[in-house]
Amino acid sequence: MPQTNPPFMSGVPELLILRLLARQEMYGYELVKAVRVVTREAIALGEGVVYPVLHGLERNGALKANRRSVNGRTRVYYGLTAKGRKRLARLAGEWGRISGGIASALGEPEHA
Amino acid sequence: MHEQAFGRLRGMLVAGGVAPRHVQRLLTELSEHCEDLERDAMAAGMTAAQARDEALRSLGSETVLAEAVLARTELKGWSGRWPRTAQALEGLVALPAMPLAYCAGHSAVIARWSASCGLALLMTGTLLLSLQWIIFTA
Repeated sequence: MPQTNPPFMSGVPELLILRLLARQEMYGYELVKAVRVVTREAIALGEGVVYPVLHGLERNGALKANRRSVNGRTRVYYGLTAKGRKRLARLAGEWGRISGGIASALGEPEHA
Repeated sequence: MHEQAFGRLRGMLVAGGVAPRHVQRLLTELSEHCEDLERDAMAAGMTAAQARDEALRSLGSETVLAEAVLARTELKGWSGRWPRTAQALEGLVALPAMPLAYCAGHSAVIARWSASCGLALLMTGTLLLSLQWIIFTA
């Protein structure tokens, strides 16, 4: 029996953040811009809202943060940990199942 | 520059039980993000004032930001994560501390009372000693 769906949109920022950080380490501002690009601006995260998600994921061990100096400015870069990769795989699976279900529902002919 | 907005946010987070180290780090990163937004907005042709307003708008209101942080229980201190335990412990600590706190708050009254008691004791002792002396010498 499939699991209960997570609260519908609440896991989206987390999923996107984990997916992008699986490719490369990024800092918050870079991450927000990358989310816009990869979702073709369909999803624009509240810019400040990204930090509680990042800090929460770091606290749970899914991300690691390190402060680096780049072009005279210090930035906090976030990267995925092994635990984060597992979390990403689980979340991606859940969202694949949900989006498949919605696509299936939308593809159905309308009932009379 | 953003001190007012960030000050209000800090107050909301601290009142909500977020651990101080998380509050400080969040405000630092938000501030850096805001600087990036301003820089980009000015590069796009906005004036400094417009860029600042636009940056704060993009970042989100302090209410929205506070709600997003407070929703993550893992960022709260232990008293924020287990408020009932904290309240129970507060009660346990407060009970024996109450007399001390009362004394600290009423130190002038207690000093007067102690002085009166001391004086009364001295007078009674003197009287008793005088009586004793009269009995022995009579």
